[in-house]
Amino acid sequence: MNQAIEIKGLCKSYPGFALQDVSFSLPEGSIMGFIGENGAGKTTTIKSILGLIRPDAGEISVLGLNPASGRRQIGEEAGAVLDGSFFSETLRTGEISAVMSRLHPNWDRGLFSEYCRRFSLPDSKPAKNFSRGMKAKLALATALAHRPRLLILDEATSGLDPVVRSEMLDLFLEFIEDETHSILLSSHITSDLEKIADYITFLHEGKIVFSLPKDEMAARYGVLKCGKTDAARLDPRHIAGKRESRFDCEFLVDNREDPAYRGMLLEPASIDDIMTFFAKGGSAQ
Amino acid sequence: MMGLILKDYYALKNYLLKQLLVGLAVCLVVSVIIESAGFLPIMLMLMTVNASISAFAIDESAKWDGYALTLPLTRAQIVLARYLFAAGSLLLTGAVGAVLGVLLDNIVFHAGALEVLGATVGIFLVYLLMSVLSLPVYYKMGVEKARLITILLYLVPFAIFVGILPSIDLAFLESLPLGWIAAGFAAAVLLLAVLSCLLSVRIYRGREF
Repeated sequence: MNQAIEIKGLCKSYPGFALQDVSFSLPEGSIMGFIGENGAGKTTTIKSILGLIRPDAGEISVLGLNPASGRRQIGEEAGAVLDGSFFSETLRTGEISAVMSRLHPNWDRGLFSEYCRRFSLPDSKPAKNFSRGMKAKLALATALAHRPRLLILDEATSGLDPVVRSEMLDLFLEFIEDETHSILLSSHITSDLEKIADYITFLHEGKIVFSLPKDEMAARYGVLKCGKTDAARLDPRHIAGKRESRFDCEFLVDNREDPAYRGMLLEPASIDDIMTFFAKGGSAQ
Repeated sequence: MMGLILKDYYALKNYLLKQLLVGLAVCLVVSVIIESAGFLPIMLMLMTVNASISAFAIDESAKWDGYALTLPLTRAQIVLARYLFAAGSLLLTGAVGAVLGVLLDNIVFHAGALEVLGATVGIFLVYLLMSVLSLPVYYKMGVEKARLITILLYLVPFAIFVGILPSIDLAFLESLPLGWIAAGFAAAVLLLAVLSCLLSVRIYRGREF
């Protein structure tokens, strides 16, 4: 299977933060949910993928190209929605299309107009008068109107109501119907990722915790609830996180199907559970 | 490249058009009061001399550069487009101002078109010089910090004309045709513009977004 994105050993340091040895692959034809707490390094990783920053170490391949030398070609084949980074809000949709048609060789004015109609984005007023949801849809329509093979979305659905998010998720699913298309979607809205992602990559404090097919993640991680006596018998190598109260304990375990848990209350872990447990003391490998 | 210039124009058009229309009305009145048609293009160009700086501020607030670099554009194209926008907006306003100034002169003052055109070209070059001096500072430091520094830079041409030139014996210039002096100044400003653009590209290539 071809990889739309392949990252090996990516490192980037800033004062007070370091992305350490980040490696993962996004296979073509799939959606990867990219999760992690605020400041985990998701945006730094995405900026490295897009060639906006220079990594200290590591190898990145995007659609077979190196962002350091092939950023322009990647720009032809990939569409990006970056958190808070777009055209000035004084522009109207028609003006954005006029500009983009001169900046992008593959820009399709008709397709952009079609998305604007579908999303009810009027040309009669500048984007600053749009609602938050409309602005998000405009950014997505702009990313899609040059028919990219890869979408890279950084918090593209943040702060949107469920109706708008649902519209956008439908569009992602339509986009991915072409098996050569792929999406890397960084989001805090884990319920969206539960619905559409094929893979989940979890970044915690600048390190990859896991990058797995969603089904494998669901099969691997579970939330175990037990008393303190049972807790003492658990294998610490498989405890990825822990919450304690006066009477019982909750553990995030990474071997949910182990027969050792038979008879205990063990539920599948949601993405939220996994993030929360790690935030409360789990450590990345 | 045209797309980037168009983007700056769209982002600023309301602000620029309003400012120019109000400015035009005020300048017409002032031109008549001070009896100088050359005042008109000079003041109109002054209103647009900061257009490229305003475009910087708008880009910074929209975090445009990060987005632009996800498109198939080179960093050199992004910088060059900003220089062309700065020079183009000055040129356009200067041309419109010069035409209106010549018309005003023909109707009211009758001092001759050459006086208006000479003043327009001379001040165009001074404004262009100020722009090319300030643009690399904006690329290096961002809008917030660069504003203060460029105020000092704007004093450079002033300091040269008022502080340095009077103390230099420029008698030899009197023997030179005026056209030569103007051409020499224009060539010097254009050379500086090229060097400034190269410096800005270098600075921009080193930046991360």
